[in-house]
Amino acid sequence: MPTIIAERLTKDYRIPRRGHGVGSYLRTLFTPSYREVRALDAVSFAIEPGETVGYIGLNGAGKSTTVKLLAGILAPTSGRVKVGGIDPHRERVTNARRIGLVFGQRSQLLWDLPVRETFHLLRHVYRVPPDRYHANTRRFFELLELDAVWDQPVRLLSLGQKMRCELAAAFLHDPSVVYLDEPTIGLDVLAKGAIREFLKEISQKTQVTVFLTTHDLRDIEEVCRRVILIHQGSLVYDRSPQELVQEYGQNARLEVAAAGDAVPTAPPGSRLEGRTGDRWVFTFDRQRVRVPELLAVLGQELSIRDVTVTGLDLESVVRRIYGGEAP
Amino acid sequence: MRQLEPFPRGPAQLAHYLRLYTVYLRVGWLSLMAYPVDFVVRNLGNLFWNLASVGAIWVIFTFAECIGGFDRAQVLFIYAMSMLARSIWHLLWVNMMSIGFYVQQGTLDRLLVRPLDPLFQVVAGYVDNDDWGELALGLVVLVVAGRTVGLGNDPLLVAWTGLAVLSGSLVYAAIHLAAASTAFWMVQNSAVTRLAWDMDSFSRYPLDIYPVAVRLTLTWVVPFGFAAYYPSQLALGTGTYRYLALLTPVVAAAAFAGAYRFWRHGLGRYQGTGT
Repeated sequence: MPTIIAERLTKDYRIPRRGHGVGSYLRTLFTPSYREVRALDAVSFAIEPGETVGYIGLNGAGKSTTVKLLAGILAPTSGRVKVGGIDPHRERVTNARRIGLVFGQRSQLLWDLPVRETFHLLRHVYRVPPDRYHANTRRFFELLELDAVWDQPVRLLSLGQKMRCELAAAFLHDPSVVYLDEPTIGLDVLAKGAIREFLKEISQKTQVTVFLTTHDLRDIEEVCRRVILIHQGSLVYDRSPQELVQEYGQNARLEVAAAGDAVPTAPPGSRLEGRTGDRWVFTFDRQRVRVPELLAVLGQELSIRDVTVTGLDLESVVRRIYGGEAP
Repeated sequence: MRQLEPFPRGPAQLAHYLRLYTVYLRVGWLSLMAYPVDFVVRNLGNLFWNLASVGAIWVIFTFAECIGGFDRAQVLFIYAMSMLARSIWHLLWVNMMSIGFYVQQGTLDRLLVRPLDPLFQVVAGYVDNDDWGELALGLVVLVVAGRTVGLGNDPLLVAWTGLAVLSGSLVYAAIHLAAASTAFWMVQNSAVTRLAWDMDSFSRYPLDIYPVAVRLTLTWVVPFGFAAYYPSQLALGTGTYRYLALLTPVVAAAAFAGAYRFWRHGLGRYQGTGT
């Protein structure tokens, strides 16, 4: 049975309608009127135990709303959600014991105290047995280098160190499901790398189900086996990241460094996207044209110094989907 | 889905929460002690402020024999009961005034994903740092004024005073919980919590000095009258409301139950299950 089932999950928010000007503002105080805003519209998916799913979308697409519905913080307006066979909102406490949660923007660490105090508190909150507590903290020491910050007050830690602690705190009680809401937001490359490595390691070695929302598609390419994409509250895509690139990403990208400012004509089968620095950027269809042919044509116009070829990454693919381009 | 031991119910659940409360209090204390100078200065300030208030009453009685039919020792006794009730609420539960902040900032979400009662987490999540002066002074004044009015001779009345102080704290808790819970409708509700905060001065003096409308309000709408004034009538053996005094623990419990229901109702609204 799937760990997470969402069936036509829909959430409306009531937003007070306020006019401009003092008069109309006062009127709405006594006769409030609301408009319904649909944050999530009939989204359905099922996630099996042990899956690692990336959940992506632009700001306001409904990512956080989905996490709140799955975590039992909010009740859906209509539709159904089951996590581990129970309704996470109606059985909030039972559900809360089985899940871990990282809100990238909302810390659960005790700000003024050494890191260990947060873990001491959580150990009692979740009634973590001593052997599990010691095994897990040992693992965090090793994989997330928590031993280096264990006795330091949280307020003195760097953003990256804090996020490692948040991650460990979410996994302390051996949750069956972990929701990560933008865990790499604002982090440098090294910290992001450490967090991805930890997630890879823990999802390979345990049966934990991971549900990850992010803006950084590298997170998803590296960590997730499956990607769900929502746009304006609706599900638009649900497959593997590789399939996504194959389907939408036939195009590859060619960068040519050349002297001079004369704008080159795009060879047949390619398109000139623009210029970054001294490099002309082309996209081309791999099925129609090959790199040597392109270079042969371009070489007649430009004196080429350097060339880079990349497949389109997930990010540009997603941009194409949102842009409404046909695959 | 990993199978978990069921969480304890009944008395064992209470034990679990009591134990957690000590863990939370420890964390709260350690957080306070991260800034020891701040702690000391705040409490000295609090002590001086309360000394000045008590001093003001002393000065008033150099001009007047009685206020509202009560002499100096009696007024100070009521004032001390109110200080104690308020400081116990303040020291243990003042963080309920932050509910509006939790709603605005979305911090409430963090509390809802822990397997604990959210109000418990609000209340236990912060130990107050600046009302110890009021507690200390309240105790001293209560003992001195209590002796002067002859309370010390009757152990039953002493016990009653203790119960009344605890009930008074519960009255404080009820009023502030209800005020703070308006955040679920208003989001920005600091005006309401501030109003409740300012109104608590009414609980410090004999209600007899206020107009009838104010007295009715403080008895039946915002029951600050039960924080100290009504229960003191029994201990002092004066006044016309001795039977109302006996109701204090009941009123306190009922008020808190009502406030708690209001909070739950608001929480349901926040989560999208309420109206």
